[in-house]
Amino acid sequence: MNDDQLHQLLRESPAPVSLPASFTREVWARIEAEEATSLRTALSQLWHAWLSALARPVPAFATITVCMLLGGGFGWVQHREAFHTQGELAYVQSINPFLKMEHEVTQ
Amino acid sequence: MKRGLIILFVAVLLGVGMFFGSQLMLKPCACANTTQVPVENGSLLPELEWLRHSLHLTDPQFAKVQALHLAYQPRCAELCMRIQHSDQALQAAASRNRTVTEDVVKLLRERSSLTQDCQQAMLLHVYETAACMTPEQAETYLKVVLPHVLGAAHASH
Repeated sequence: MNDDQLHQLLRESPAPVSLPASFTREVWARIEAEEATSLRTALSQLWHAWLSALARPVPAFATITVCMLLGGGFGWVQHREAFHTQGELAYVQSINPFLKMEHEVTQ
Repeated sequence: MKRGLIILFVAVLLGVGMFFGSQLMLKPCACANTTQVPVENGSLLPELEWLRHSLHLTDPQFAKVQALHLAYQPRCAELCMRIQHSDQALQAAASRNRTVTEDVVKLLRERSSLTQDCQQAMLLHVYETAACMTPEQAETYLKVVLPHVLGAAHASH
């Protein structure tokens, strides 16, 4: 029997295959699980690579500088906001007799 | 890797330190050190410094605003005292009886009238202050201050 005859025979008598109802769902679940594992692995590898890089002087210095700048920057921004809020309240309090009275009562 | 973790920890620690350090360094705001801050009875008026900074007032504008502010203070203090007396009298009258007596009604009317006087005085002062500014500055100033003057700021919070 040559290939053409074999193909002809297979086409004429297909094997009865019955898939379970949950087949598609299970396939997708396995794909998702595989993808999640690979993402976790990739993140873990990235984290380890970064920590290893931090052992070198330049990345270490850069990270420390960035953290210090971020800390100082956030502190400055917060101080600015507090200055504006407190200043506004203090001004309004200084011209509003009702608020002035409340302020004196609380003091 | 352990070294990297230590460096990361140190970096975060220094960042947190910088945050609190900057707060401490900036705490005594510029207004406490400047010689241009108006002084009345030996006390600084940092609220005016806030006004100068937030509205970018020029020196002549600031001088006018400062003069108006200081001139308004005795009137504001007098109104404040009248409110205190009125509130005390109303509290006493309302505590004496468990009905709305004529005395209570009279005091409530006086309190309403006083509230109106206070708001009028504040509005007058705010408009006079705004008149020292450019239209843009005045608009910003009124937008911030008017809700407080009219009592709308309390309602919105």
